[in-house]
Amino acid sequence: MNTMKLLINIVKRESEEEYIQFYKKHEIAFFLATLCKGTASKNMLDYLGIERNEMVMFQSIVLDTSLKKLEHDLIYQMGIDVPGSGIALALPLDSVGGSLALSYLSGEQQVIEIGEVTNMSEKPYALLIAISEKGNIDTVMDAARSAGARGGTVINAKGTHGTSRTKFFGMSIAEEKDIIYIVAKQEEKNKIMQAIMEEAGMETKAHTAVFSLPVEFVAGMQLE
Amino acid sequence: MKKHNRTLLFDKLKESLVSVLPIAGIVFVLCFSITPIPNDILMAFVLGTFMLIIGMGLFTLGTDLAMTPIGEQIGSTIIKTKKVWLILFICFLVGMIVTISEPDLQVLAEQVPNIPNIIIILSVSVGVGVFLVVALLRIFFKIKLSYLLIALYTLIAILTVFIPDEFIAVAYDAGGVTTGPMTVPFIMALGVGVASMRTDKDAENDSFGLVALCSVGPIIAVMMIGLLYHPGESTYSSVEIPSLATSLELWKMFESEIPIYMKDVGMALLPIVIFFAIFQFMKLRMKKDALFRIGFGILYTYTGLVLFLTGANVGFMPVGNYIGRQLGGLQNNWIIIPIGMLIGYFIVAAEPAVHVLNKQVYEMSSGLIPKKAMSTSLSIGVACSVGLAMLRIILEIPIVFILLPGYAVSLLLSFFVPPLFTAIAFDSGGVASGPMTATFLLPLAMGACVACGGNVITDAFGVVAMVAMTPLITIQILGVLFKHKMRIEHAGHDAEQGKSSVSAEEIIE
Repeated sequence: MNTMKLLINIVKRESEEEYIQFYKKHEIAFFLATLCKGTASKNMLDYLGIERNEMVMFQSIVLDTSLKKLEHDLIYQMGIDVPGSGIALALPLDSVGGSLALSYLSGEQQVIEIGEVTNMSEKPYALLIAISEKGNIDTVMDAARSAGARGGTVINAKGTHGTSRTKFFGMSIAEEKDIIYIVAKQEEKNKIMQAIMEEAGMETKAHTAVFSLPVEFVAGMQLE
Repeated sequence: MKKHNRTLLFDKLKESLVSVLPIAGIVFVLCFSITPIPNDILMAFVLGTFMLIIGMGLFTLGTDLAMTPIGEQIGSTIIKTKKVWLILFICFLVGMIVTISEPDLQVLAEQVPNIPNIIIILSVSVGVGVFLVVALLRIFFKIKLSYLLIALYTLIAILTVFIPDEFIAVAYDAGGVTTGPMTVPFIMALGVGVASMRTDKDAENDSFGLVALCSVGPIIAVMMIGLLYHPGESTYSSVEIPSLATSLELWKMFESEIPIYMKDVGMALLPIVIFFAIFQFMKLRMKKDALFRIGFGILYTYTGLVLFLTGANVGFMPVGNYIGRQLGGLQNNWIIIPIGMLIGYFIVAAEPAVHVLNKQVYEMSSGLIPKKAMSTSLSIGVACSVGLAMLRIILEIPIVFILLPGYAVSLLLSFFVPPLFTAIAFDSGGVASGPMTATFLLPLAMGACVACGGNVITDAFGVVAMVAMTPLITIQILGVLFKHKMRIEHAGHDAEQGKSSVSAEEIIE
C-alpha cells in the first residue's frame, strides 16, 4: 500500500493558525496538532534563554494524489523552505486498520489506486526517532550534533512500561519520556545513530532507544 | 517574506506592549477630557507605563524559563517518591513559605484593623499551606473539586454571618491578594508537574485547581481571626498624591522606591530559589545547560517584577486615585460605572500572572482552549466586577449582597460545565486579582468613594474580591459554550460514520 503517506509538518507556533487554515483549504480532514519544542542550538541566545523554539507539529494522512499539490503549496505558498520556518516530511504508510478508519483518516481525498509513483530507491533522507528518559535532551542532541545533525524537535511523552505500571492512590504513575525527532541525510544517518547510542544509549542514564524511518519527501531541510 | 530571526525577548515585549497600551490609552483619553490631572502625575504615569511594559515582558519570559520548570520539576519529583507524608509535608511547606514572602500580604496585613501584622501573616500563610495539602489530598482521594469548593464556600458564607462587618471585605480580598504574581505561576506549575506523571483520565482535569483551593485558605484564616479578636477602628493609608516640580524630582521619586521593591521581590523569590537549590542538590541533578537557563530565568523574573511593581506603585497608583476622585466628584457620577467597566476590560491584560495562566491553559489543553478565548472571558469578567464595584460605591450596597449570589451562581454553574473549566475558572479568580488590581483599581475605587462621601473601609475595599469572583462565572460560561460546540462537532462525526456500516473490519495492507 503505497498510496498513503504520514505527513509530519513542524512549524513555528505563531504560524499555527495559518497552517490549520492551509490544511482545511486542502481538504485534509484529519490532522493532529501537538505542541513541541525545537532543540536549543548552542548559542548565546540559548544560554540567555531567549531563543524562540516553541513549535507545533501537525500529523496528517495524505494520499499520494494530494501529496504532490501539498508539497508544492507547502513550499511556494507557505514558504516552508525559508530557513527557520519549519520542516515537512512524508513517511510511507504500511497498513490501515479497517475501511472505516481509512475513510476517517483520508476524509474528502479521493482514494485512487495507482501504481508505483515514487522512486523507492532514491530516498536521501531518514527520520531518526530517539526516545529517552526525561531531561536528557541536551545529552542526546550534543551527541547527534557532533555527528552532523543540525537540529531536532522534542515532544514530551509519558511512557507506559508494559506490565510494571506503578499505582499511587489509584493514579497510574507514568515514566516521563522525551521523544526527539531528527531528520538526517541518509549517509549521515548511521553516524548520528552511532553517536547517540554511544553517548546516550541504553546503558547510560539517558537510556535512549533510537530508530530510523524512511522518508519520501522533505521540505524545509536546510542544505548547505 | 517574514523575518524569522527575532528573539523570544522581542516577542514577549511585543506581547506586553499590546497588553499595557490599551489601559494607558484609556487613562490618557480620560486625562485629556473629563478628568484633568496635574502634569507631574501624568509624567510619572508615562514613566510607570514604560517600566510596566519592560517589566512584564521580562517577567513572563522569566516564568517560562525558570518558575514554571522549577514548579513542574518539584511537582513530578515529589510524586515519584510515592511517600504520602513527605509529599504532604513538602506541599505544606511550599504553600506556607511562598505565601509568607508574598509582598502583597504585607499590604493586606496593614489593612486588617487592630491586629498585629505578624498574626495575620502567619495565619494566612498556614491557611495557604493547609489548603495546598487539601488540594493534593483531593486529587489522591478523587473527590470532585466542585463538591469540595461548595463545602468550603458554604463554610465561608456561614462564617460571614458571624464576623464583624469591618472584616468582611478584607477577608474576601485576602483570597485574591495572597495569590500574587509569584505564587500563582509556581503553584500552577506544581499542579501541572503532579498531573504530568499520570496517565489516567483525570490527569488533565487535576492539573488545575490548586490555586483555587489556595485562595480559600486566606479567606478562612482572616475570618477566623475576625471571630477570635475584637477589632477596633480600622485604618487605611490613603494614597499620597506627589507633587513634582522638575524631571529630576520625578526620577528621584522612582529611584527612592526601587530599592524597596528590590528587597520585596528578593524576599519573595528567595524561598523558591532555596527550595529549588535543595531539590537540585538532593534529587534533580539537572545538567549545566539547563541550570544556566533557569539561572537566567530567575534573573529575568526578578528584574521584571521589580520594574513592574515599581512602575505600578509609583506610576499607576496616584493616577488611579486621582481619576477616581475626579469621576466620583462629577455631577453625573454614574459615569464612573461604564468607565470603570472599560478600564476593567483592559486592565486584566496588564496582570502579569494572566499571561502565565493563559499559556498554561493553552498548553495543557493541547491548543484546544486558545489564549484569546481565555483573555476575552477574563476581560468580560473583570469589566463586570469593576462595574459592580462602582455601582456599589454609589449606592452603598453591602458587599455580601454581591459576593454571596456571585459565588452561589459560580458553584451552581460547576454542575453544567466540564470539570476542567471549573478548575481553570476557580484558579483564574486568584490570577485576575493581582498587582494591577491593587495599584490601580483599588485606588480608583478609594478615590471615587472619598469623592462620593462613602465609607472607604466597607465600600471601596472589596474590589479585589469582586475581581476574584466574576471570572469564576465568565470562564465557566466559556466552558458551557465550549461543551456545546464540541457536542455539535461530535454529532456530525457520528452521523457521518453511521452512513457506511461495514460488518467485518480488516487491516488494509
